[in-house]
Amino acid sequence: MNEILRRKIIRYAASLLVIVLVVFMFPRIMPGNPVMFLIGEDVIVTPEVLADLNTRLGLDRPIPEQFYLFLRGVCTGDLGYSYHLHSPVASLIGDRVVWTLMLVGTSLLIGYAAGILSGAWVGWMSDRKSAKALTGAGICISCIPPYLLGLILFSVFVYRLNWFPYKGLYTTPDIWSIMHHLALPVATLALFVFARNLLIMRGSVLTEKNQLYPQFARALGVPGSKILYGHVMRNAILPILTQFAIDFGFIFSGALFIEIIFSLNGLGTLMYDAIIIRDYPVLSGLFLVIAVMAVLANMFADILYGVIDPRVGREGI
Amino acid sequence: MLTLCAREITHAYGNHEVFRDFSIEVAAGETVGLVGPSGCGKSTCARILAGLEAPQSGTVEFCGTDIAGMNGSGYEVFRRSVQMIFQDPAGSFNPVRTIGQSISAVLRLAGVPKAEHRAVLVEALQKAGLQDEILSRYPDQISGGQAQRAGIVRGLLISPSVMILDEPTSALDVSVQAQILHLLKEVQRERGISYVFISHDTAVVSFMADRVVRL
Repeated sequence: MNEILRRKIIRYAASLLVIVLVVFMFPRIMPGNPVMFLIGEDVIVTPEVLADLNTRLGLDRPIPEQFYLFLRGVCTGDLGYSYHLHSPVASLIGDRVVWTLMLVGTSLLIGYAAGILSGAWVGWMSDRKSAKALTGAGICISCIPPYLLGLILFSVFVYRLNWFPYKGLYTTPDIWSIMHHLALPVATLALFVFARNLLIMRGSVLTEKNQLYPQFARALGVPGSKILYGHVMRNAILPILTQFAIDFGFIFSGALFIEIIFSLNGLGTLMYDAIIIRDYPVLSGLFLVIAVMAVLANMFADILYGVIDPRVGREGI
Repeated sequence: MLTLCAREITHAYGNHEVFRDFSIEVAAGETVGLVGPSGCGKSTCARILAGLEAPQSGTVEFCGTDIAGMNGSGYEVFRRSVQMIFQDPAGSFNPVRTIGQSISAVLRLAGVPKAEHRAVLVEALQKAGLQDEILSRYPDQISGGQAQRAGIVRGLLISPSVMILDEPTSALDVSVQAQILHLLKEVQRERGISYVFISHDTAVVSFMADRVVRL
């Protein structure tokens, strides 16, 4: 395996281990009895039941052994048990993560593709009035947080125009019903992602187009669109990748708000309910899953960066 | 016969006028030195002559035709006939492509079959005193002298009749400067190319140029 790739994987594996350690330590360093933290602070139990739970949950064992058991559990998909919802956390998350990933994945795909292509065009044709208008629109949209954008779209397209359903993931379990229900939440998140990427890409292309290599390509008679999409784009896209790595957690948390606004049964509503009833095992499990996804997104962006810009891989950054 | 000429061109950036009513003529096979103090607009003038920027007034003519009115095949001929070599040799190569990939792109434009690329490239590089191993390197992995030679090779592969050389040796040390200048002279002898040689170094200009125009 490539030495740089190996180093990157070790770095991200260490980050994951730290995240798992934080999730493990969280209930144990909180003031009070960790059993109460796990079963819920408002549950009344006798000291005998408490002692029994303490033993069953392995909290009477030495901390390193507890961590080993916790780590083994995480690796085998055991994220604990929700005493409020009477279900394993992994199963609760597993039932809903698909919907959240569908919402986030589709939004990211549309938002990134549209933002990158439009941003590149706007940067390349920066003197045109249409490019200036699109930039202005991008600035306005990027200033609105996703949850407010969701509320605005909800108010217009659900309340006033009645074009989209106001809640749920589907009425009948078929693809058209799912698309109809997800259209507005996806549009909300995609619009936000689009606006941010449009502005980043615009700035990046503005910088790149004044470099000498596009000028040389122009001097050779290479058509403008080919210079933009064949030469400039590969260099200009690098800040987008950096931003993707930084932004993933932010976009994901934005998606959770969108789910709450549109009453979608994804991780967002699960987290919202868990916060309201203080279901710490579910919150810990969600934190772990979201953190793992953010780390994987960072790793993906990091590796892709090296593929697009060979200088990065060579310097071993 | 005049190959390239600019007639009374004026250019300004905003309210700042760079030069006014400047004219220059380049005949086939000659080297015209373009000199002037820093900031007088030599590089802007070079880009206007290469058709990369339009003057605010005046005309640029290639073989007697105003380039502003060119389109279709006429414009394509102009584009390939007038090439430019920049001051920053490495910067004129795409940083995420190898030197080989960048030069091959020119061969594709010139219509050279892909199977012949390697042989053509190796021969062209050898003439310029370069090893073929630089083909697999990226612009930041080669020296300034190697990058400038590779830039000249790339510019020549499309068989231009005029080359605009914008301070091609100012970023290089003295020994490499001499090698590049001799390479340019040799190419001119072989192919009869015209040069517009821009420099602030009067010694270099007097060595290269048949006549000198001051901006």
